[in-house]
Amino acid sequence: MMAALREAWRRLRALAGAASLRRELDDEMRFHLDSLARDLEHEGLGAGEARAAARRRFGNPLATRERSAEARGLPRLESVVSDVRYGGRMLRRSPGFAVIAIGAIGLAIGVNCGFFTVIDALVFEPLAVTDPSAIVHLRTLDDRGVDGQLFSYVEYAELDAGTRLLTGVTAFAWRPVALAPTTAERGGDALLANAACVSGNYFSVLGGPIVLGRALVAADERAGAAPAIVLSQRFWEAHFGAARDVIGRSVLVDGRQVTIVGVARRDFIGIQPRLPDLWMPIAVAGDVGATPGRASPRADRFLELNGRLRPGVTRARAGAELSTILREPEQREVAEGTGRRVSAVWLTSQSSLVPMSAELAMLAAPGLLVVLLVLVIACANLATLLLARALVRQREIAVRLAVGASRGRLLRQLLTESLLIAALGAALGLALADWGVVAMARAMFGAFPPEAGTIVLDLHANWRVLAYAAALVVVSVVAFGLAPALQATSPDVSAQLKGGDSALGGRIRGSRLRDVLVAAQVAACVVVTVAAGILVQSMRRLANVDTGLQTASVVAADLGFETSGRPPRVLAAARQTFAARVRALPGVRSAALVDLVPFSGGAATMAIADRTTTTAVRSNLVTAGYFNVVGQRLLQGRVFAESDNGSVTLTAVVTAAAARALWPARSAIGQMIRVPLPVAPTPADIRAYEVIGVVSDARSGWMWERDDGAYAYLSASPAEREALTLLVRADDSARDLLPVLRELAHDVDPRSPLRLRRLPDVLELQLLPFRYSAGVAAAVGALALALACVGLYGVVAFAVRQRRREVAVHVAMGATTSDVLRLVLRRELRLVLAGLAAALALSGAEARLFASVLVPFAPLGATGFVLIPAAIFCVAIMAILVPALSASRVEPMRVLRQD
Amino acid sequence: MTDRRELLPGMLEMLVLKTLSLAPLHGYGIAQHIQRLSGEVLRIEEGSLYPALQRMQAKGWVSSEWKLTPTKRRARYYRLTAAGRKRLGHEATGFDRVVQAVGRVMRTEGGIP
Repeated sequence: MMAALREAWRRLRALAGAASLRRELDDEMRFHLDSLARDLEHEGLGAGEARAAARRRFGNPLATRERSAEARGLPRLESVVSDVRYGGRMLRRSPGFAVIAIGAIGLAIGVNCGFFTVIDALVFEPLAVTDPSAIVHLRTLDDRGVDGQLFSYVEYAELDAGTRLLTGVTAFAWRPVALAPTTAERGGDALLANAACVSGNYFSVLGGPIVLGRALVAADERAGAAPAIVLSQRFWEAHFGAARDVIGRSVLVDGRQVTIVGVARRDFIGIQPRLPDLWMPIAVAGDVGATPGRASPRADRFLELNGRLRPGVTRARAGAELSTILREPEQREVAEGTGRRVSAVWLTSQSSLVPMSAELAMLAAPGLLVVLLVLVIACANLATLLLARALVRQREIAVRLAVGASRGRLLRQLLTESLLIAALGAALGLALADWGVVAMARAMFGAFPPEAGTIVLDLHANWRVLAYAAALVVVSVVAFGLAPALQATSPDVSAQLKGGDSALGGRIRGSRLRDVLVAAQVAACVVVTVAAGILVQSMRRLANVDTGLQTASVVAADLGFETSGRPPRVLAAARQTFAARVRALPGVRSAALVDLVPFSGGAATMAIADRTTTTAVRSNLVTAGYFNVVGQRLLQGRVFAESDNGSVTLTAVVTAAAARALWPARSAIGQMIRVPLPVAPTPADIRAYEVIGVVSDARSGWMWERDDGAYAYLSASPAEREALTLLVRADDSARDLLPVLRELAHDVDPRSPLRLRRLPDVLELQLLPFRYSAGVAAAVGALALALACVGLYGVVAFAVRQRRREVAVHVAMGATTSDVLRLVLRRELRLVLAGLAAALALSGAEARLFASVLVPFAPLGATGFVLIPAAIFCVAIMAILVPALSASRVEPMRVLRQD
Repeated sequence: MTDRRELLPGMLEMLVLKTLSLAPLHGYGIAQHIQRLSGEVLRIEEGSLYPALQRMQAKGWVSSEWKLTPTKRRARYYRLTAAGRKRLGHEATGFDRVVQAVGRVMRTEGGIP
């Protein structure tokens, strides 16, 4: 280490003294020559003669000086500086080449860095907690091999109390809540806030920093503790004006009075990229009904668990311990029918938002493949350009070889020039990536509704992104610079000096390399464009899915946020009043209350049993009028009526798929199904419903999944806590309805934080990530195509220039334009076709890879496989034709006289 | 013309060290000295001598300073350092052993068995 430092220092000093070193060497050479000449003169030669003889005998003083300077060691650094300067001069001398080269490599590196920036923010950026490498995420494997990520409160308590190998287990669940001032004179409407419902040890286990007051502690979670919440710094600044007297202030959360005890520092976001507005103990969340409470049964699984490994403990050991803790009480309580028997708890690292895993690598592979191919195209592109330049610079290089520059020195110089191109490109690319990724994330997150919360994802370049860019620079310099540099300095280049530019050996080898590069560009271009095509087509397919519902004019109004602490019965009445008044509005066709708004996510699956069998069925709670609102067709029986409310038997409507699955041989009407309620107070609380109708199938969950399949709509009385959202179907444009609804809601409850969403917007939200990735893919595909075209154009333009004498002779002999075109184009056409053929073979495999990794990726249709290569073929022909046509218009005499 | 022989790699440095162990000399003087003492058999290429001198200076075996020659010209004089002297001893021993070994092989009578 010390030796290396000393050596570096010596080199640096020598660099500073390089000029004087050179001068000294010159003096020394001159002295040597003079002395030699004088001695020769003494031997009897004439003065001039002696001088000439001395020169002859001395050999090349320049070369000697160069080698002596090199032997001194330092000069290598010095020559790097001069190489960079020389490279810069060469680039300035041909600005056209410089712009194309730096632009091409810059765009390609930019695309790669942009991709890596996103991956880095998710995978490599450590969580902003104390020692993130020890944080683990708890998952379960049940006896049927199903992977689970949710736990019940009982399970959480058992794990946290029982573990010796973790410093603690923490629990976490997202819930939207309404936050309101305690007294009306404090003023202001209720706020919608995203609450992180956490266990009391959440801050202590993760290490959450506090700017004001105190963090939540285990005592806040105990029975009888005063309800406390902690605000996020951002929320505190935005809605409490960063007032320091906020500590100890009381507010209403979903109507329950709680005390603000602290403000968590800005950078603490916990384990998800969403910044909570506030943290509240699960005890409080259970009290207000935002989540099941501490006494909820084992089957109520709503918590995500994380833990911190004690030093030296492996994930496997800790997992084994947790499995034992969980298995014992489950065996005891198996009679309760908890729906799951955990066979193992396993731990995954949670050191970043999405720690690296084999699954993740599989998911990222197609994207990585595509962006790397763009870099391959850019490198192939540049390599052909540099090959062409090397031919142009043949004479210059041959002269320098002849005056004693070593091949290594020249190689270094050419590679430095390539490095300069790549480094400037990387700077451009980093700037583009930094700007592009942040702008795109802002646009995409900005389109999210407020309930998605504040997405916190640091997408600015950091040292890892810079290191990645540097690695790309090195790789691309080798990829595009090495072969042309080797070729340019190859020993038979000296033959060029003698034979003009007809040194056949060099040219043929150069051409073969060039041919491969051209074909590779075309092939990579097709593969990238096909990938883009797959994404765009999948997107279009998703956007055009037939949901089986007519929801264009439906508005969802969330009424569920209780702000005033009124008893449930009163609230239910208020909801019913609101629903009735909405129905009476002019322009409203129908309205119904629903638990899960269509398109807002997958419905919970529950085991529904008829007398003999149990089938997994998804379900939703709806009130009368629902099927009218969403436009789902009745196939059999009847739908819910207002008169069903308060009747003794509960009623259900099922989809055709459910009817087929549950009663393949019989009519569904009149059958009874038994359903465990999602928030069942006791395991015994299983309700029986009578099936009164069958409706058409629909797709109301995620668009990339299959149809809802077996789905049961359970009648909900308006008093039910779950049916909180009023769906309103308007006559024509639902947008006009929004202000009316808002006014009406204000009438019913002036402080209600009413949230209105149009169903097409809800649907659009889940397509948003796909729209963006399709857009990006299309842009990357266009970039690949543009790069390949520039490359083809350059290659053909150069080849044409090389062969202008040949062409001129042909024209002079009376060749027509088409003769010339045939002459010039034959080889390039063959290359393009070879590239296309190779790419088609690759694309088939690529489409399979995409489809195997991501379900929503539809395989590209046959038209895509024909259209994309055909389009690329046409574009390639254009790129070839332009320079070729200009070649055919040569004036033969001028060209021939030129040489 | 004298029969001239190429130097084996590494030998140049040894010869330079030996020459400088007698007195500080400039590059031209070193070349002349070796040429003369070897009876014009060893001719020193300037193209190798000066890089070798720079290399040896970088390794700390020789030091240099600019001085006036007896004919009042400025020349760079090289001087052996302590490290250079040690190196010379090392090289000389190694060289002797190689020469003896080569000699034994060359003096072996009879053909190849």
